[in-house]
Amino acid sequence: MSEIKLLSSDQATITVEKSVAERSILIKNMLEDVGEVTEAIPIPNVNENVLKKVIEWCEHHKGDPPAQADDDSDSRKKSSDIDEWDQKFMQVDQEMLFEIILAANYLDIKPLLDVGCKTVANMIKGKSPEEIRKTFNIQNDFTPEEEEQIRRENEWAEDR
Amino acid sequence: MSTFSNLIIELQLEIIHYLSPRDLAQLCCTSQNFHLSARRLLYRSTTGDFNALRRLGLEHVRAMSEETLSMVTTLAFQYNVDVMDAKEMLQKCSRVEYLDISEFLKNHEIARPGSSDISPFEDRNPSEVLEYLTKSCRESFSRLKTVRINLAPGKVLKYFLGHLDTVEHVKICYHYLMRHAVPGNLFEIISKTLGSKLKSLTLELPPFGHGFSDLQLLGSQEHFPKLQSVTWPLDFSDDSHDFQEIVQLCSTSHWKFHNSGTRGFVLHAESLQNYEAIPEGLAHYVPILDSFANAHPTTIDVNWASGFSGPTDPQQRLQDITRVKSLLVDQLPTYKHKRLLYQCEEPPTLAAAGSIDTFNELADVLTSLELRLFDKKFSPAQAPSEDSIAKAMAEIHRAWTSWLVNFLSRATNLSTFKNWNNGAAVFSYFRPVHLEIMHLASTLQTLCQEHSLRRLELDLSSLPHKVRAKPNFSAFDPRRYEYEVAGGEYVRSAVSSGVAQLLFLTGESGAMGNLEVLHLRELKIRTRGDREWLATLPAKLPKLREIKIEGKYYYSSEDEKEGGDSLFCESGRSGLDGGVLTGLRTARLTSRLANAWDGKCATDISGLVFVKTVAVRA
Repeated sequence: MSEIKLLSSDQATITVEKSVAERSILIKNMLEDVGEVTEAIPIPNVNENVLKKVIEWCEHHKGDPPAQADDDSDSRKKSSDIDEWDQKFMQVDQEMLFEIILAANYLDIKPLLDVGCKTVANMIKGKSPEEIRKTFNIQNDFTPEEEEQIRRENEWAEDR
Repeated sequence: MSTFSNLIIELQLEIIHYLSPRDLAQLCCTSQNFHLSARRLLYRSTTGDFNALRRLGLEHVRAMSEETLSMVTTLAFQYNVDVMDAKEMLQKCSRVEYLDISEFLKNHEIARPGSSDISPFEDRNPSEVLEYLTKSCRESFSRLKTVRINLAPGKVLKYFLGHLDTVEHVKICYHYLMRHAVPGNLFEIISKTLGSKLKSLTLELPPFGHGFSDLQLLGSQEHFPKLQSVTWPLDFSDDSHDFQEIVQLCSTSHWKFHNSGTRGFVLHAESLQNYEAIPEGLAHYVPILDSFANAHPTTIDVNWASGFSGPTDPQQRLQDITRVKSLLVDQLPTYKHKRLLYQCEEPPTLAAAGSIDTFNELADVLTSLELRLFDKKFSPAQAPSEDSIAKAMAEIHRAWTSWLVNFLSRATNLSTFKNWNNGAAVFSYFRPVHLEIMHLASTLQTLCQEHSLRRLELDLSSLPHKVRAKPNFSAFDPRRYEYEVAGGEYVRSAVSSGVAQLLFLTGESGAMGNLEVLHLRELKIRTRGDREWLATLPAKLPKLREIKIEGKYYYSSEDEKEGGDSLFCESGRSGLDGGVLTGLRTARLTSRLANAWDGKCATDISGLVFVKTVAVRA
């Protein structure tokens, strides 16, 4: 069973099974490009803590079938189909959650990105604008008039 | 530190796709960061809630002043407009000159009673709708000059057209759902209602078959005294009588005929024998057909795809190509446009003996060659195992490469070379056939440097994006193929993009220096090297006067951070709509290329989509 080393942005070296690391399309392509590699592969945008979490997810899902090609349809997707292990995995503080999602995007791990985005979408669902702002510490940059106008424009969707 | 805003800037579309209209509406109100994208998705929502969107659209129209609405001169009802709303809009817009209700009627066709589709709107059929609109909006028709409408049952069409006193231009469109409604006496209806005023008539399908009749009436100056222009996509059935009748009508009538077909007229090789009974001979008609479509002279289509509609019998294939050779080489010795559309899944080297010689004779005279590659179809008997499919495909691939190089090297009169990749591979018993530019590069360069080749139109859709892995002909999904074949051997390569294929063509300075027109479809510009290739094209193709690129241009967050004259620098433009940004980027790139060519080359990259890839946080 071959192993490779990954070098996080804070210079920590993490050894991981090659097949696990290849859940990341970025790493998989990189390994195809360079062939056999002994030195650590730099992952400059992900720190050690986040990289460890991502690897934890990849290890749990290493036997999963490969991700399907992107579905370009416009139909709304469901955010409720997150499996139990993933739900628990995503029970982290907001900063770590966002770091994991950004890392999944950077490392091109589509299933992890999907789980992360669904988790964030679930945090938005059913909330008022003020509650969403509070949850995510968003600054309201609308004037009261602008906000009222937007609210009026979108009133039709309120009962949907 | 990561914040929700950082995240949302990178990934908001991925996240908000999971939200309902209600949640999107709430998100719109939180801050400007979310407003535009959430709103765009909200309005595009395909939740089936068309009624809400329709109400909203109508509210906007109702809110417009009478003065604004009186300035509306073009009104096109889309698919999802309700008949009552259409009536209201028509009544308010009293100065409309162009009315298009074809999409609108299609919807009512789908929604007609008894249809299995459930419509969110109405239960009226198109005839009732058309009749209702005519009755209730007669006054709004008083300024109409042009109408675009579906074919409708004769009685209703006559009623509608009979109320259009000022219309001079009629466009009849066709939709398969309405095929049963084609009125056989369309030309009689038009002549009796608008005939004396009509200046132009456009049919969006050829006027034979489909229940059309009495075509000759259209040629009558008595019935259509002011008719100046008639347009339809020129095509023929296999019936030589139809052929002669239509060519006669189009070439002798008092109006000018325009062929709206995008690729000129196509003579099918397998139908050529049907025209042998024509006394003047088919060659007599070819220049006449060309006169209807100056930009797209007649093409002869040789269909060599046994898995599709082409002949399966090798001898019949040989007869077809022999007829083509006879027409182009023997009967039309001085004709200038000898264009061949070769639709195929395998080269003639795998067909009947004699095919190669006949093709070689054609090569000597051809001015334009278009290759359309079909997927190879295998029956279970032909392909007992995945291994045997892979072996057969490798054989076909080798045969392609060697035949095409030999054929092209003889085609010294060729001015245009074009390939179409038609690979659909929707069934597991199909395998895609690839054309690889790299194998043809030196031959094409010679044709360009030493002979007449001036125009290249390349479709790169089935080229490998990453030319490094072995081909997997036994795999089902052709889009995942990643391979390179050189001299019949499979090799690994360090080159890694669709542009790699083109590098073989344009790599050497001056190799394609005489090229004047370059069209590229499905080009993927992924790496820095790809971009450099694009930027240095003007130096390599100094005589180019037209370039058109469709495909994808991938960029990253890193690109966005570049300042100055970056394509992606959006400082001070936060909140701009995605479509506007794409427009800006397209304009910037177009402008750079045009400058590099010193304004001598028409640049069309409107089909190039900018795609953001890996996100890198600040």
